[in-house]
Amino acid sequence: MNFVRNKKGQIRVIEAFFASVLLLSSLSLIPLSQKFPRYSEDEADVFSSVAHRTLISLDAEGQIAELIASRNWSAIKNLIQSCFSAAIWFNLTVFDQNLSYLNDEVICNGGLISDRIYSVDYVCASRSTNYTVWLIRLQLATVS
Amino acid sequence: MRSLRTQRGTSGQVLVITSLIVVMLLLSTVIYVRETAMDAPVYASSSNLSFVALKQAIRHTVISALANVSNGGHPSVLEADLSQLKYVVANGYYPALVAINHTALNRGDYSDGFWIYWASTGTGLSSAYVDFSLLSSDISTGYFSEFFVNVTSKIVVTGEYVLLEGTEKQVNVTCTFYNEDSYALAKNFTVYYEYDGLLSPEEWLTPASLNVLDYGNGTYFCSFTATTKHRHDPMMVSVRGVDGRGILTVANVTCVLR
Repeated sequence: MNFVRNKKGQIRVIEAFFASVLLLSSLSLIPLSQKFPRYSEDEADVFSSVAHRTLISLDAEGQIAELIASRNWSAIKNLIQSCFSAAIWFNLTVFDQNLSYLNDEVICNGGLISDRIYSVDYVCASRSTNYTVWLIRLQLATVS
Repeated sequence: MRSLRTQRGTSGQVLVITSLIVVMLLLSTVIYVRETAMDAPVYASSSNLSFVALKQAIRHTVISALANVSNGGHPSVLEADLSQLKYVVANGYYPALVAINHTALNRGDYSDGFWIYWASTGTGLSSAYVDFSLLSSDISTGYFSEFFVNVTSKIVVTGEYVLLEGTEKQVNVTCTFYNEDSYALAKNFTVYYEYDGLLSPEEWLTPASLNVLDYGNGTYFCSFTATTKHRHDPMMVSVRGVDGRGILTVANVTCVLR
C-alpha cells in the first residue's frame, strides 16, 4: 500500500513541475510582447545613428567644415543627398557660435511628408588656421 | 483502508500546494532579479556616437591649432580654440552637461602641447599632443572618457647631386610626407637650395626649373639644376611642405656628392 501511495505522489509532483514550467514559459513571453510598442524608440535610435554616422564620415577629413567656411550650401546639399536614398527626407541647418542661422539657402531635398522627424546635432570644427566652430542640425524623416 | 485513502488524498493536496509555493518562490526570485538589474547602473564600453562626433571635433581643433602654430602662430591658440569649442558645446550642443578638460603635454620635447622640430638632418616634424577627459551626465546616464590627441606631420628629405660644368650642379631630392607615421600626400611644397652652402648668412634660392615626380604615395622625387657661389660649395637643400591638413613642416639636408 505504501508503494502505491508514493507512486501517485510522484505523479502529482511531476504534474506540478509541468504546471510550473508552463507558467514560467508563459511569463517569459511577456517581454517579447512588450517590445512592439517600443518600435518608435528603435526607429529614433536608427535615424540618430544614421545621421551621426553620415556626418562623422563626411566630416572625417574636414570636408563639411571647408564647405561651410566657403558658404557652399549647394555642395553641402548634394553631399548629404548622395548619402541618403530618395525615401529619406532631410533638412540641414547650420548655426554659428551664437546659435544664429548661417545658411541663407534651405539645405533640404523637398517638402516634408511625414509628421515624425528625427533630429541630431553635430559640432563641426574647422581644421584650417582660421578656426571656427559651427553647430549642424540634421533632421531626417521617412517619406511615406 | 479508509484512513489510508484519506492520507493519500491529503498528501496530494499538500504536494500541489508545495509546488505552488515553489513556483511563487521562483517567480518572486525572477522578479527580484529583474527589478534589481533595472536599478543597477550598467557599464557600457560601446561608443556613443554623439561623443565620437565630439571627439572628432576635438581632434580637428588640435589640427587647426598645430596648423596655426607651424605657420608662425602662438601656442596659446590651442587654449583659445578649445575655449570656442567648449562654449558651443556648453551652450547649444547637448541637453546633458558636458565637461571637456584638457592638458597640453609639457614633457620631453613638447612645450605647451607642441613640438616643432625642423632639423638640418633631413627630418622635419610638427607635432601636437593633448590629453583630454570628457564627462557627460544627465538624469539617466553618465559618460566618462579619457583619451589623447596626437597629431604629427613629418617630412623626410634625402638628396644627392653631381657636379656639372662650372658652378652648376644636378640635384636630386626625395621627399616623403607622413601623418602619424603613415604615408600622406602633400598639399604643396617648395624646394630651396643654399647659394654658398653656409647658413650665415642664409641665402636660400628657388631652383629655376624644378621637376617633380609624384609617386602618389606621399613620396616626391624632385630634380633641378643649381648654381652655387663656388664649384665645391656643399649643396644644402630645404623643403617646406604643407600636408593635406595645412600643417607646415620644414626639413633641411646636406646633399651627398655622387
